[in-house]
Amino acid sequence: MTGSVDNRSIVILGGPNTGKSHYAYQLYGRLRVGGCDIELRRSPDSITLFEAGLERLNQGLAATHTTSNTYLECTLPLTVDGRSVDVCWPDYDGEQLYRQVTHRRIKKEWQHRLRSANAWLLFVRLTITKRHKDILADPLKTDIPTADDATGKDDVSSVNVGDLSGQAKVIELLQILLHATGTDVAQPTLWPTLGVVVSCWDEVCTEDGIMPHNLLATQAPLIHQFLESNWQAKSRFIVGLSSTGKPLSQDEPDEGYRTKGPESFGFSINVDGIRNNDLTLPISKLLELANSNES
Amino acid sequence: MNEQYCNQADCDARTGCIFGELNPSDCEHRELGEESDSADTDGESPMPWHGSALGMTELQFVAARGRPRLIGVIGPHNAGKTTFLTSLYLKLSHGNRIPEKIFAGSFTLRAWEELANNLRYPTNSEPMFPRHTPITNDRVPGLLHLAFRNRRRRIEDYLFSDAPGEWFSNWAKDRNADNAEGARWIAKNADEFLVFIDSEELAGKNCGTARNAITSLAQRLSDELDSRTVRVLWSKSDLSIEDGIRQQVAERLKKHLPDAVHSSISVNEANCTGIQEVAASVLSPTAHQGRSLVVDCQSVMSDPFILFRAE
Repeated sequence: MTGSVDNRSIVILGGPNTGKSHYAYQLYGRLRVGGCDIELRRSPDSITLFEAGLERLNQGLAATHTTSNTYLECTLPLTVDGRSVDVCWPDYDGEQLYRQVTHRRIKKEWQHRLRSANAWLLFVRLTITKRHKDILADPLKTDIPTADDATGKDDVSSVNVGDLSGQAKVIELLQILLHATGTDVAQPTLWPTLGVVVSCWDEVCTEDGIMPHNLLATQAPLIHQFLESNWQAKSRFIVGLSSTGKPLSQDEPDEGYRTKGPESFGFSINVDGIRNNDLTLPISKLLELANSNES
Repeated sequence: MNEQYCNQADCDARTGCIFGELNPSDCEHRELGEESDSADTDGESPMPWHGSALGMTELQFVAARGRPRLIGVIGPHNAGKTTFLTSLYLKLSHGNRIPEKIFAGSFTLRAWEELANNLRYPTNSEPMFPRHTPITNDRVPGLLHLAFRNRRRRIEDYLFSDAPGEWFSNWAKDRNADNAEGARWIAKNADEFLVFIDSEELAGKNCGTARNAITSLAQRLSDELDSRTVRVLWSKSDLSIEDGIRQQVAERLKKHLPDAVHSSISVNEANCTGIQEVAASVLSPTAHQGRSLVVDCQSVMSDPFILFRAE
């Protein structure tokens, strides 16, 4: 078969423990066995990026965290809607990105990646971003002291950017990345096409039919408003994802994973709240949207 | 080559000192030596905001994209000004929306979070009202920023002054007091004012002193008002003020600030309805654009090209 090949680059965004790597392993595992909307045209030149993680999942164990300060890429030769598309898939430790946010300097190579990407895929894990209780939402019946009087106690109010609460941390990340790429948000922007993945869905929602954007609006309203405010409706979407379908332990193997294989687990939630076993959904949606925005 | 650098990770003197020194080399955090990651900073643009309350340098960045509306939050020490601002942010982060507007970001998220953390339940101590805003001799107050997108899909920037109550007490006593420059800056530049009346003080044994201070402040503000909007917020309104005192204070406020709209607010009120109503009215003006802000920086800080060359 002949034909041109589209080269697509996706930037995967998200802090530590937001599920980026597990998704990469599960995604590649699914692509390898087939049966998804997106398929592999052939084996990637190198699968080292996925190998160790897939091995752990096949043993029924959670994958280990991505080594600090690493940045690896793998080109996935895909068929999407009958078109040949090569997608450059990155893997890195989430701390690496947040370190740059903390220092408020985006490295040159990251600026280049972000600017040259066709689309960004942001992982938001609501169990990390969920708000803390506070006295407005959950009033106390006792007198509340003033922080000035709390001598000798830990200074709970001191905040580093790295310690920003979940919502603020995600918003600051996006603000900084938009600025670093020179994106004008005077009006809601068309570029970059942004897919938001509400990850580890099984942790935050057990009900059927819940639309991901509603869940985000309820549990992380500032993030939801920030996205709605700064991106055009046609250049953003929100889906849900549970890459592994259930929590996995680092040292207690899951029998189902060992016997049935990791490909039998995990699901995505489409924008309309419909559950789908196809884990390629976030990528197919992202590529489809980026394609239509660029055409 | 050994050069001066700032030992604070978030500070980049090329965009201004985060501690407000007009000349970064005067800052106590400047040190001689090589910046640890200087080799990695090649080609990296520092962000023009650091997340803390905005000073003059960062204000230029916000002012460059529009005309921010400056809300002067004024009142005596411990009147609940900072707690009000904290509550405003917390309610937004809970999902309370401003009518016909969507939250579009903030360049002072770290400052907001620092305040909000006081009212959150931590694991190692009980919640506390925010620390009083420290008294400084700064020329301008720290400014907290919120951006919203309106129905016409335009960005509206709002700045709230977070200044120590002592500035206003000094200013009320002496318009030209040395330690009230920040209060004068707010009085000159604010587009509207939130004047805080501390119900706790009026309900306590210091009610006479409090009444006197409120009268002086209202009188001082009335001289500077120039038809700008004033909202009087009776904070800690769950505390009961003796009728006679309330009446006297209300009459004096009526005399000096006759057009002011009065509201009662308390963090103990169910759902903080009063705070939400005030927030909705402050953030939903028909004319959202502020007056032209006077951003008077010294020359070395006002021109990024000169500033860069100076480094």
